[in-house]
Amino acid sequence: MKDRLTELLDKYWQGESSLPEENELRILLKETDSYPELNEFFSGIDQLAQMDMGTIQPEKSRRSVFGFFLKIAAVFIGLVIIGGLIYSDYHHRQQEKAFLQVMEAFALIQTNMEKGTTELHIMSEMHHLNKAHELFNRNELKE
Amino acid sequence: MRKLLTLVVLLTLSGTVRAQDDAIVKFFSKYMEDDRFSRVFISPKMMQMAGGFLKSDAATADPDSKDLGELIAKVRGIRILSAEKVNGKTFYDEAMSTLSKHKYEDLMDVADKDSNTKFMVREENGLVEELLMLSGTRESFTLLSMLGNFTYKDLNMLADKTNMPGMDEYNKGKKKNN
Repeated sequence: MKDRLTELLDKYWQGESSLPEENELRILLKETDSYPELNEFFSGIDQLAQMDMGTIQPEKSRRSVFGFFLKIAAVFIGLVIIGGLIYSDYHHRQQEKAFLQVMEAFALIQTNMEKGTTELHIMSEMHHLNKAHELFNRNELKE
Repeated sequence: MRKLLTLVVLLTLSGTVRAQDDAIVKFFSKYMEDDRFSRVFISPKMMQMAGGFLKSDAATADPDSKDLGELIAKVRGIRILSAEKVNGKTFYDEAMSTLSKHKYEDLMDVADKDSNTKFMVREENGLVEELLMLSGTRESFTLLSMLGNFTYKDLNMLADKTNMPGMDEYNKGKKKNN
């Protein structure tokens, strides 16, 4: 058994051992107390391999799920922004339309009010009737 | 007892005002389905939107637009009923007979052989609640009712200012259409 163990160890250190031989080596090391450091080394490797399996895989899947939701969130935010801009533009157009309609109504009032006020402009010509009197007064003052 | 009497008087008064409104609504509804007439109703919501446009339009940030904004804020709504190629004088007389003149005071009356134009106001608590404009010629008829709470100063501003923001654009558009 010891010879087989030495033979396998030699192969292992030279990098020529196969996977079944390495498994055999582990079993043989567990059965003997000759190489305690190697025994601990292999058991440590086993533990590390188990730890790797346990930690890396779930993280990988969590990342992919997070990425998926991130994409959905980005698309949603994009849609909200585009929708907001479209609504804002539509609202502004509606406001402009309402404003022009109000101005149209105001213009109608104004045009009709002008009919009356232009007639009243004739009254402003009345002040010319006072001119002669003003001149007369001025002459009187000069005298 | 006195409180009860006051309440009865108030209810009667509000009923009369409603009856006045009804008279205009009645006239409007009578010609609502008539193809010869075009109708415009500017709701309080649209007045709000028009005010919002004026505020948002940075290019019109001048005193005139401020005055106009204040006037728009005071107007609750505008109703217009108009018709072209009709004998407007007949409709003018009909509208005048529909309206009871107790609540309306004449503001301006321009009449000649071809046309009649009348501005009337309904006042309450010193403020103009309604400006009513009736215009009838041989070829057209217009009835305009502007509801709100405005002063005569506001009406004067409306009559005087021809350079109101948006008015130029409106007039240009009108000329193009003609």
